[in-house]
Amino acid sequence: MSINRRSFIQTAAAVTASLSAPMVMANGGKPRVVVIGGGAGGATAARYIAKDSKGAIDVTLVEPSRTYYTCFFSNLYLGGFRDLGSIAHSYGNLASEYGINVVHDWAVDIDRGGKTVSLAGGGTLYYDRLVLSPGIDFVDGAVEGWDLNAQNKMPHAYKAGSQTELLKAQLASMPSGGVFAMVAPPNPYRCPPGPYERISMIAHMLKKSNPTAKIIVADPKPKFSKMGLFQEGWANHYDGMIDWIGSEFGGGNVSVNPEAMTVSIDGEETKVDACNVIPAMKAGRICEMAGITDGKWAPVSAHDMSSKVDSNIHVLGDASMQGDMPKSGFSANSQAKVAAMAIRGALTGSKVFPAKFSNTCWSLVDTNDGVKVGATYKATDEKIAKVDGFISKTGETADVRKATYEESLGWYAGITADMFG
Amino acid sequence: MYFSSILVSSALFLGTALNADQTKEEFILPSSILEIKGDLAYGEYLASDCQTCHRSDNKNEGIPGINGREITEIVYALHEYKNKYRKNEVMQMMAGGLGDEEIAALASYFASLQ
Repeated sequence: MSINRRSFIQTAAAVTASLSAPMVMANGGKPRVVVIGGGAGGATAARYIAKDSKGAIDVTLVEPSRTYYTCFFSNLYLGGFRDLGSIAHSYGNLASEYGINVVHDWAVDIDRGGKTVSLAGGGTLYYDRLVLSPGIDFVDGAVEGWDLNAQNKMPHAYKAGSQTELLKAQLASMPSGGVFAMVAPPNPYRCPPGPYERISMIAHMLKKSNPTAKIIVADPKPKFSKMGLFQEGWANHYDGMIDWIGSEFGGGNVSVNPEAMTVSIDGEETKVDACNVIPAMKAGRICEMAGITDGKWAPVSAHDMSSKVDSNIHVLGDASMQGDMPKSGFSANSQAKVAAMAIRGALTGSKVFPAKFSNTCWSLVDTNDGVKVGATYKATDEKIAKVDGFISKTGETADVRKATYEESLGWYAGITADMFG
Repeated sequence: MYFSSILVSSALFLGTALNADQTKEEFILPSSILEIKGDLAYGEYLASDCQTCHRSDNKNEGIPGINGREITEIVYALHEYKNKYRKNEVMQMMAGGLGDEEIAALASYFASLQ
């Protein structure tokens, strides 16, 4: 008996050690939370659950990348205001300081009945509560002529990292007086001011290195986030350089040819030297695999971010359909704290307070010219509902704009510390 | 108490043109607000919203750390933002959504931190 048991334990230990992902292990009967996706939603949720439960909950974070590049501030890298290293973060602190089991692997299936997550590396994770924060994927066929096979010729750069580097390199090698085109996405999408901050940052970069270059934006929308502020900034800083074509002028009638490097807008074909295609978006694929989506997104309860299909699953950030909050890193971080509190309450009986949410999006238009938009939100039975908000005004003084930019630097340092410890 | 309330209302009329230092003298909270005992656990939850920007390690990289400040200082600051005596749209918005109990809870929590 004792020999059998010892050999069983040895075998079990060997099997566990040989797998890239942890298997079911004796965990002292502690409740288990698995978090899929290590961005603003997932990393924050994992950290808050681990930190506030003080070891009472086992937390596993599944994230394929060892280095996370924040989408927020990746436009500032394109503009030359940040280097890539400054938006790169690792998961070391979450493992060493908070005891989170960080697994670098892809989640490939979810069995909601058995409460398990299958990993591409072959492991299986068991959960009592599951947090899905996978961000976005692109809708197939959203831009005629473009698919993921074309992402090297016409990068989306809407998941930061190598795609952002590629776009920056292509912009830098444009010929003098060349043409850059952006295909902007339809609503709703990650980071509403993101494409327009990107246009500003690319214009800033080209103004210095290639001042006769042209920028064309084909947009399927008639208006966009902070439109008045961006258009004021473009006129002030980049006069005549940017041609924004909204839906009223055929901006939504677009096809691209990545081989020929042409973009056709409302029937008119233009040869381009660099092109950024940002297709229509949907929840990260794992939500679809879990069977919790309704259309493109995963509907959730505003009170605790739990899926309307399965209350043991919480969906955070871009992937969720929650109501009035924009899809932003700040929103995901805010939602993560509400979910973390609710999950701790459900698993350990800790006190649960009414949900509160907030968001602010800062954008840089040019050097020291920052603008912002923000709002607070509350949970209703129907949705996350906006309570109050503000937006920067056109015509603000240079001092105000500089202070706004400096505040955004403080926010970046703050939120990344809040996510990664 | 009644007297204090009158001061608050009169200060509200003076508010917009004043800077933070001047408002310190003009903006007076009634003792009923200053005497609210903050709930630490509630403060800890509410503070997570603040700590997106005000770092829990108290470092200032563009937005100041607020750990360990006096309760009264924090209560005043939040009410001043809420009533738009202090400038900063983000803080006016964040404080604008807080009730007196919530401000007291936040102040107690941040004051308790190092």
